Amino acid sequence: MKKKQLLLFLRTLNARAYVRIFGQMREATWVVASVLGGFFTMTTYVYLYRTLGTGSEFSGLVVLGGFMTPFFLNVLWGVATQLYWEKEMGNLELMLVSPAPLSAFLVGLSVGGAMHTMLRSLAVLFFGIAVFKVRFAVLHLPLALLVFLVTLFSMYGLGIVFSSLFLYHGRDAWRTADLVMEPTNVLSGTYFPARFLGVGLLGIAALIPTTLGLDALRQLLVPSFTVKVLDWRWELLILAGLGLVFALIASWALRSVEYKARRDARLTLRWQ
Amino acid sequence: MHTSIQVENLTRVFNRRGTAPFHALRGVSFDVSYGEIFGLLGPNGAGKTTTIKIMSTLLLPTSGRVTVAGFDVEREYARVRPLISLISGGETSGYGILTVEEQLWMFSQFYGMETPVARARIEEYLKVVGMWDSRRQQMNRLSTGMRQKVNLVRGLVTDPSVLFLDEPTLGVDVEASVIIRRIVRDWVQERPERSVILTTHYMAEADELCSRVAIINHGLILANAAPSQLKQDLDSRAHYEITLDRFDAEQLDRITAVMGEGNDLVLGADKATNSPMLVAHLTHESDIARLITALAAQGATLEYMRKLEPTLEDAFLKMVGRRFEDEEEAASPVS
Repeated sequence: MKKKQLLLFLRTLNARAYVRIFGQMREATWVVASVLGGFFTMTTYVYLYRTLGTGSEFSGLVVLGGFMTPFFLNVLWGVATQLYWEKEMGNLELMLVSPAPLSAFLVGLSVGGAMHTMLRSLAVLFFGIAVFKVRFAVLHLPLALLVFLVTLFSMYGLGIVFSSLFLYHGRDAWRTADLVMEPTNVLSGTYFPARFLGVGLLGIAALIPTTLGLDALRQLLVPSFTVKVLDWRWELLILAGLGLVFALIASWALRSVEYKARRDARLTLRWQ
Repeated sequence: MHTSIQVENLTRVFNRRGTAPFHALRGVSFDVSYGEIFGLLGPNGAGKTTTIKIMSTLLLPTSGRVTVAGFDVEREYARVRPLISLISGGETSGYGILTVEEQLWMFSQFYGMETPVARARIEEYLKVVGMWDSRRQQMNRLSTGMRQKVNLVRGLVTDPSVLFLDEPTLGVDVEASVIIRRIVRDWVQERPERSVILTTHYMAEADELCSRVAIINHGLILANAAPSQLKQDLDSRAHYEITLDRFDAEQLDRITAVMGEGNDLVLGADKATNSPMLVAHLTHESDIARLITALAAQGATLEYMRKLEPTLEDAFLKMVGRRFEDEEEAASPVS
């Protein structure tokens, strides 16, 4: 990549991330509502496990699930559906007419989305620790951070792949996303150990980066957590591999979809 | 190089499941020179927007070739994009949560502009459109006219060579329209390597701004000339409206005989004063002197006289067969 193209990519990335980070901060009620929503969902599961008399490690895994949920929602509704929304708002035409590559916009909104979501997720985590007195092991914190970042890379890569599909298939894909949101949430093992899914379902669930990412984080941060899917080292490798594969597919899909969209006039028809 | 845009035998067919293919463009050809504001006029569904979308790399042609600044829009679109800007009327692009300044900066980054350069140009153009004081206002709090001024600034900040204006004053109040037209005219005159492609519903706008206009209908170019030429081609005769203190049918017959064949005179009444009004269609401009002399000889005194000029709308009406206001029934997928 030439220097000029690299600069264009980075400037586009930065500008698109800016909207996510600073623009959305202006919608304070939405930020508060999403933090409270995440916290109350988490609370439900913590009390459920306590009622059932499970070990204290279950509160920890629920809080970690609550921490990761906003990222999952951001990938689904803030990245995967974004090109479709940009088309509806009339931004996509302007993005395409500009010399910047589509991938720069998507990486930008992923970076911005992840940073904005981080604030909300940390708020959920803080409330979880403060209210439920959950304790995490800090011995492996750097490794946990690495796992977390690789999980994000893989998750947002998948989001960008889906954004191409959404752009091409429009409203049908939108409804499909709505339909798969809850099952995907369940398959990720957000509020329970994913191993309970069984081998068959785990094969599918492993393709969703949050499944293995959460499992690895629980192993590293909740020492009494024993119902793991795989060793966290294998999970980290799989996540990195998935991320790379998603990135390659996304790069190809964006170019291919843009060409098809220009050919079939799908970029110019808002109602499609 | 003299030619900014070259469109050669352009066709575009839209295939829709369950319906017959729609031929939006059927062999459109024209070229645009640097320093020119070129107008594309036509009713809804005529193919104006399809043409603009192809020229601006958003749509592929079915056949034919378009070059912008010498680059093929189909194969060399990556080289075309840094050179162009697209502004559409009724545009709601951008993000309502951003301020005017932030929004313009964001779009400038999509062209790889350095932030200090972008900020300087944003300030310059916001002052030109009279919106510098509104720079910290959120986009979702702006009126339609203000939004469209911001859109115009967005298109100009990146300093394009070719500006595509698709109905730029649609839904905009008179004051904002005047400002937008003035800026476009000044912008293209400022540097010789710039050109503008304009589609508009407002004939007066095309007449005022464009050095040439192409009238397009059903995907075909019906005419391509300067607005003055199109109006002149419409009717070579001179037309006058003359209000008189008194005049009757007998006097009309006598004057008609004096003026001779080819000069038509129609007697009516002025709607405002109810005085007799003569509408004269004269073969030669110079015949007006003979007519005034003949009227004086009949003892009629002129109260008011004006020359009737054909408008671009008349030329459009003659070629397309209907006015813009009557066009709602025809609509294509993109136009």
